[in-house]
Amino acid sequence: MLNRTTLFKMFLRSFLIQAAWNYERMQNLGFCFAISPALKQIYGDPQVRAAAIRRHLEFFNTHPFLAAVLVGISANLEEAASRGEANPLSAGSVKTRLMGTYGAIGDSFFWNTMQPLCSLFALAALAVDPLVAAVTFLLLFNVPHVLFVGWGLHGGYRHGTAFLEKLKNLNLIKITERLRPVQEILLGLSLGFWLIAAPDLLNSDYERYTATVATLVACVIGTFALKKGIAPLWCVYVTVALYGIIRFSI
Amino acid sequence: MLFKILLVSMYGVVIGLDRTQLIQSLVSRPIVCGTILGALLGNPVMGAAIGAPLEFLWRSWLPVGGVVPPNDSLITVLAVGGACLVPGGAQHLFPVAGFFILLTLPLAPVSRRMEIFIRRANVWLSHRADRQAASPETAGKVGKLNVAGIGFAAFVLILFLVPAALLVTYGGSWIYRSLPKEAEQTLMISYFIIVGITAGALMSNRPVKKRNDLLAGAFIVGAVVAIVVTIFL
Repeated sequence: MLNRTTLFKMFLRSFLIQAAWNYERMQNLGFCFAISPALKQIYGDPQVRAAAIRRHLEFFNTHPFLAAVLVGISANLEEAASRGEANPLSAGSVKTRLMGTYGAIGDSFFWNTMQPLCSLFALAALAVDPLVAAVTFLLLFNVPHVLFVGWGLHGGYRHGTAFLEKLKNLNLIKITERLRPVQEILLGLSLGFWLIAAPDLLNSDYERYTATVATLVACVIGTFALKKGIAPLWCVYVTVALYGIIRFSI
Repeated sequence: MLFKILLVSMYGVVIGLDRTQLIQSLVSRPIVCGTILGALLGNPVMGAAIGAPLEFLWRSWLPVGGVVPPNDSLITVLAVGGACLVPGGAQHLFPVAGFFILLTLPLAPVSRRMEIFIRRANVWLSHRADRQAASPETAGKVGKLNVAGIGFAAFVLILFLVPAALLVTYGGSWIYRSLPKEAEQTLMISYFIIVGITAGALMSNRPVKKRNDLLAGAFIVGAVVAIVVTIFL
């Protein structure tokens, strides 16, 4: 049975899962680093431990936050293998089977929903104070992030593959779908507020009107250009250049 | 000034590591790292003014699988560093913010290339791990190679950030002060053009495209609140 210190070390190391991300086997070194404290405690024989380390150096890539679940489950399976209750290769097959699915779920939930949602909350909070916006973002994103990593690692280790059912019941896909309308509302609120309020920070009426018109025209140009696949960088420079030409030719 | 530029570079290293190698607390998001750096340099409003549009400009790029998006964090650090250190910059919020965003935007693809280089070079660490794991005596040291990945990334970031910060701050400062007075208003409007393009980026990457009613309703509420606030406050 892994002690608390080992589990805590694995928890901390789970945050470094991408430290040596590489194009050949992606998160393999990070995964091996995260599970190493468990392997050290489970296998007393250096030969057997080295074989386990080699097994965990194989290709691995998933969402970095959901990797903790697979680190926990792998530690559970390695422990069972050391007692002769499981095949030593079973941890590898579970990783291979789940990394793609967990990668897709994690990308959709954390990168495509949580992160933009927190950004939009921060954008709204800018109306109060810039530092409040930064703190709002960090708290909104990191409290669930850290809790999820801890819960996933601990649950994965305690329940092994049975934990997959608990994770399925959490239904991150459904949460993602429910959060999307919230994202839409925040997007509308923030755009409505800032497209009107930001130019109002200027000194003269002329500047205010020019800035408001420029923002709205650029917004329309941006929406259509980016939908057509034009890079934002080009969009910015071409629009600014067009404005410069119009301004200095009048 | 030089000490502050080095401080900005070191801050950039921490921010750069947070994107992939270290924790991923997302302190590296432009709206966060820009505001914090602005506060450290005494101008959080400038930090937020630069960080907010850059937060959403590359919204469509997600770090999915092996995809490396343009590094908006590093350009935010460089732009905020330059804008906060330009003499008298605090009095010209929007022109200075617009100028430094335009100056640093081309560095985004460069810093993306740098991230790709780090990931390619890390293959060497993976091969070395194989060699170490082959022997029971050295297998226990494999974990150190993962930590070495952080050290290598930090080294590459320093090599990129120190010259870039010096160039952006000193060069940017000199160019900005050399510009004619009339250019100030063009730069100010340029800032709002960047904000508009960013809003366009947000509109073209909406999460639920069929809910126009939600977006339109929220937009009107936001606009009304803005009008009330600007009239009464």
